[in-house]
Amino acid sequence: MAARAVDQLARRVSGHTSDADELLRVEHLSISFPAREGRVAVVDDVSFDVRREETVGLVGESGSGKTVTALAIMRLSRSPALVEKGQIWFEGEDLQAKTERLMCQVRGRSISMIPQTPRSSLNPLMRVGDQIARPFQLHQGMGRREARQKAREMLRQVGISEAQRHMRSYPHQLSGGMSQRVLIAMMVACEPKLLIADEPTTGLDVTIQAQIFALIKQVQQDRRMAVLLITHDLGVIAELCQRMVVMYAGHVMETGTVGCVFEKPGHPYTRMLLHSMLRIDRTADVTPVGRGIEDIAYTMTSCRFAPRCPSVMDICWAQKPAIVATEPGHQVMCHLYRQE
Amino acid sequence: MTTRELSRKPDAVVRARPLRWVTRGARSLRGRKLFFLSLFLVLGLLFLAVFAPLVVPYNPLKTNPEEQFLAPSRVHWMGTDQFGRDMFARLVHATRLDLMISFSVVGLALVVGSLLGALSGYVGGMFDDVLMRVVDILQSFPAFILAMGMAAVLGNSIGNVILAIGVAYTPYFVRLTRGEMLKVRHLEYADAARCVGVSPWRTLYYHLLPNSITPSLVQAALALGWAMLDTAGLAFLGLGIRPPVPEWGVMVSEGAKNILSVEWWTWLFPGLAIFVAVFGFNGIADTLRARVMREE
Repeated sequence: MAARAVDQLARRVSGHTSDADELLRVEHLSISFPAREGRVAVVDDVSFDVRREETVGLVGESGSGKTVTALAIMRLSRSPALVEKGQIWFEGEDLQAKTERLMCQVRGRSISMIPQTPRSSLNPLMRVGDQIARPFQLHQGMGRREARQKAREMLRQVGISEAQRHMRSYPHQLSGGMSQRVLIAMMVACEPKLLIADEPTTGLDVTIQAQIFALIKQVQQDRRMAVLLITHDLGVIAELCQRMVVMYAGHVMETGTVGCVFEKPGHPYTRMLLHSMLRIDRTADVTPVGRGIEDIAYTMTSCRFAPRCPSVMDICWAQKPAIVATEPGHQVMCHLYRQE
Repeated sequence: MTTRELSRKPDAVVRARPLRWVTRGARSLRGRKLFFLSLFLVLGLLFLAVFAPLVVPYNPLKTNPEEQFLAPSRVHWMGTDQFGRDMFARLVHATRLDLMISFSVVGLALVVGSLLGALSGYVGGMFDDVLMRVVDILQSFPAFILAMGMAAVLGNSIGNVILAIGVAYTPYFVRLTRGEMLKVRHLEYADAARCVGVSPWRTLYYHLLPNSITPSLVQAALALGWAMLDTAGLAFLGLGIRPPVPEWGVMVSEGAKNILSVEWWTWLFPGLAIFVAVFGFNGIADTLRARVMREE
């Protein structure tokens, strides 16, 4: 206890505050890609956190930097992406500072990530069973036979019938939904504390999507994991998440509890997203979000949403808005909430 | 679920599975006369090589001044050469040596080449640049000329022949595997493996290498035939393997002196043996290549 207090004190002194509930904290993360001239910050000064056993939704349209952020958390971003600055704290440790060898122990054991494309995320030459057994062998030092047994158990838990037979299947013999189940089994095998699900249902049909989300929710509850859910689908966020982070062109526009954000969306972009959503409880017209993120947005140092913003002001082109708390636990980065 | 149906559907992202033709291929190979003829020839040669001493009662090195240039007969199936040695005995023992050399050459080139190529494609950067330039230099010579030069420098021994031809063949495997590696390197399953904590090297070895070796395996089958030809070629030119060792190239070389006289058996049979071997391996390689390319 004393050690922990000292630890916390030390962190507070070093400018980093933390409470026991906090699992992941991303601080001022910037990631750049090379562009025609110089480099462009595709993720710019992104900060958010995930608490234990919490589900956080990361939402934004294509190109807003969600996947790049997720890969950076896993420390799997590769050239030409470059993490320019920022820290990623996981359980009080800076992941950026870890050696590759230590990161290999973090991946799969503490943090796992379900990929976007289930069908191509399994090694086509390896039996499904062996692929699920791998994390057990890597992280829990099990022998092959024991690991296989656990793998079979995992297959059953993710709802694959005939687990025994599918242990020996090759990935091409599985459907997309089954592949995703297998990947979930693989990723949660060693009970990570954080599961990143990067659009886990792209390419699956709607009924299977619902099943996969139900499965994620179930394994999360069974294992008391936190989930960082990356998605385009606000409905899914409303369903599964406690808090959400709205990203646009590499900026975090709004964070808050799902209730707050849906009730009182602060940022014009969030409002735009919400209006684009079909809702059963509202008869208002659906307004499409329209064209995607402009290339110019990434080079802007002011508000990157300005080119598309319905309530754009002069200041939006001039400087980057400050992050303002509109209510407890609800922050918006927009000049509309400028404090005079 | 509908696994059968799905397994038939081509999936652009799922890579070729190199050994699937073994399990599933038998069906599709039916009616491929060339393949079975080639297979028969190669298996025949392998049989001769393995059981060489049992097949022929003669010592391939034993000379007999009284039996020079005997025409093929029931006693000497392929006649005798200028020292009275039994041609058939020499031919069969040569099969053993030539197959051994050919397999060693390809084994060396395949293992070294694909490991280097895989590494080069995966690591990239400086290592890749340097290795590729070395490969460029090696490939700017025709393989046979390169092998000739090396064999001449290294000196005459079987080991040196293997080394010389092996090194000359390695660049092809480096390039092939590197190219495939560049294709598979960033496929999602590599990332997924990394996500559960598989180290970069294990990912390379267990997940990426097996998925990028297919073209090299086809190339290896083809190279077996070439290696035979090149070994015999070197020996014919007097490099590498020298008389009196029974080797096809040596035998052709010795027989070639009689090409204008009547002793046709001294050059025809070893020449035919080379033809059969190269034909056999090429036939197999062709079928494999057609099979793999159809999958892609």
